[in-house]
Amino acid sequence: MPDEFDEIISDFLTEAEESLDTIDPLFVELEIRGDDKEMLNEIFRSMHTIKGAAGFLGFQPVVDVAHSSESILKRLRDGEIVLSTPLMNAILKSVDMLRLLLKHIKLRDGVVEDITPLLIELEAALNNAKSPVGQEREDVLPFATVSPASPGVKETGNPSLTASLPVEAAGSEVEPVSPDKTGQPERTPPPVSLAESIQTLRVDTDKIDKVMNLTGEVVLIRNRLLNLVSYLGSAYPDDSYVNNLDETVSFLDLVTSDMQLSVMKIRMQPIKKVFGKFPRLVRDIAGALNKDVDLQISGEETEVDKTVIEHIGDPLVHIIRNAVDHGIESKEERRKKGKPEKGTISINAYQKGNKIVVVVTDDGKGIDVERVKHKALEKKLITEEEAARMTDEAAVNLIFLPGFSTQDVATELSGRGVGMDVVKTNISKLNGYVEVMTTKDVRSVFVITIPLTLAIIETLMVRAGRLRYAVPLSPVEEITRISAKEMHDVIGNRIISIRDRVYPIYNLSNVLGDQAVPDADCGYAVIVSLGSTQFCLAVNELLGREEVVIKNIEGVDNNSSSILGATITGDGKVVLVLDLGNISRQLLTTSKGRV
Amino acid sequence: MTDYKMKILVVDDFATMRRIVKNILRQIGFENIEEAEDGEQAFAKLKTGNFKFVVSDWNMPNLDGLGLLKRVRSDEDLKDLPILMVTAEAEKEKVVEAIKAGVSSYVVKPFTAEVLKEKMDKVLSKMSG
Repeated sequence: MPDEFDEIISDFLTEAEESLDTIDPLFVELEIRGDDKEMLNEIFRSMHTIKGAAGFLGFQPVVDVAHSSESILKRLRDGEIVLSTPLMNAILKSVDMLRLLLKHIKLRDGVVEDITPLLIELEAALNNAKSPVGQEREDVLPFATVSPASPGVKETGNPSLTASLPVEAAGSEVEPVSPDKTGQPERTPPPVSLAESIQTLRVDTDKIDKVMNLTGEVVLIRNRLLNLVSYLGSAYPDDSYVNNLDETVSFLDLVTSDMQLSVMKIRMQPIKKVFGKFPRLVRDIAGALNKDVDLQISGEETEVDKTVIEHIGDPLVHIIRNAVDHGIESKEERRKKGKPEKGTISINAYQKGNKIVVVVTDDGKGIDVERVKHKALEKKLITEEEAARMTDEAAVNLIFLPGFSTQDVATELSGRGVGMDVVKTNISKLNGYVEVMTTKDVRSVFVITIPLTLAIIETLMVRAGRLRYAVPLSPVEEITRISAKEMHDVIGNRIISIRDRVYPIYNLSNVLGDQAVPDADCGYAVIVSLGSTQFCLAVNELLGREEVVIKNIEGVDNNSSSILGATITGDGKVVLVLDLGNISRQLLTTSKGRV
Repeated sequence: MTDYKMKILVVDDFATMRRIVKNILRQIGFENIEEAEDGEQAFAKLKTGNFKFVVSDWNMPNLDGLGLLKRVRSDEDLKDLPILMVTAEAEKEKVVEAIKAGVSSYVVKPFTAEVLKEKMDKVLSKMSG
């Protein structure tokens, strides 16, 4: 049964990768906390299990690597040797090698890794390992004579027992020995309720995505039905069939919402899955740069959509790598500035309403705003006039503009610009928004905000000029009626004062390229709040709220366009969904659409 | 005669291993197989389930294979239940402990369907004999 075998292999790969993911952070913690038998045992168990399953599946290199590091872990756990940096590095290297081997199996690329140098390193690390102080073992063998075939075989300390039992004949049958009641104190095991056992099911993500997509379709159909019913209701208010239909559709409405929520929950996973990689990442980079960095993680239990798990890893790695590499200063520099030698990076995730917020803070040197401005000018991303008018908060966010990051920027800005537009692009894919706040020599704070759900979003339907648009509701702070008289010009910017707060205001039609719509026709303002940026979009009409399913439009460049995608509304029309993040960035940096 | 309809519990914390062991048991001809993720869960299932055979891993969180074995042997209803332990080569010395605690048999990873069948047959024939 080749299919069954393939499935087992795919299960093995997933599970083995998950096990390795849990090992990394444990190691970093071990390094900080010193020997912790419980943790060592957990790491040992993961290695052991991977070895066991790989043995069945015939992945010999995986077995060899896992076996060697398992031997070290076993002796660490049993207190025969003490943890040292070379040991730790050797084991971490084997974790990396295992990942690589698993990747080759997954890709079926037939690449054979040479694991011999690693096995030699593991063996050398084990041979050079020290016994715990004060209880030197007599049987520590000189380096050259340790047999690689029997690493980690523990002395039983009782030769007569070993001799009297058929241990050597491990392959043959063992005579059952009556239970040793004397060695086992009589005790009643604590009552275990069956309810405690969690029933889980591993399901192919493709299948879940299919359900998700179908749910999206159902939502669209429900929207159309609601529309039809409301039309029928006003046309035939006294018809009992129409009333019945109304009731039925209302019920369908409720059930659909519940279904949507339930499907969404299937896809939710704790963000720990992503954060788990970071202790190791920070340890490795900080080690290579001879910096001392403390990583503090909180909110790792926050649950996010599977797509978020998949896409938020790379941007976060990028931000964290930059923070360690270029944010946190060298020990000497920090001492001179009167800061503690040890830098701190903190990652925090939490849910805020229908949004997930991830904040990465480092207490390093901050980002040089003037240099960012200078570079943006050079790249012609902004004009002199704009640069002069731009606030520091706006300027520092220029790093997210496409075209800002280049290699020479990397060196000039100490790498702070590298790939930040990639960070933005990835987060935009999640309909999210990223911004940075910085204080020279104190800190940089990256704030990523992502809507809780991705596939189905709540929107505000508006009319701008002759066209209808769907505005994602999560960044919409409020909507209000306005008149053109309330808008004022201040040094080339249009502003509006709403309840004593001043916001920049832009005519949505103009922003989207239709210059023919006068402000006087715009009766409503949509107040948008993205991170710390707030602005108003002036629209002609508000048409109501609607849950929509976003469909991608082929050929639209999502990185620079003001459009997230399209959707089909309740009355069967195709409407464009706006990308407020991109629009906001365009408005901040150019004069386009300024009314 | 081996009863291929008897209920067997496979205990391992690693889902892939449970699947592999289940697969091997199916190859032998057993159909009625259930799973547990650790000793605690296994014991709870055994108490309620009318199981006739247990194939258990050694290293597991919460309650390990040896712990499960000891608990089963000291339980009035379950004390005679055949338990086969799956071990890795490096753990041979631990087998001593398992034998003292009353393990019915053990098998070293990786094993084939033939090896497992042979071990199970021996245990079961001793039971009936």
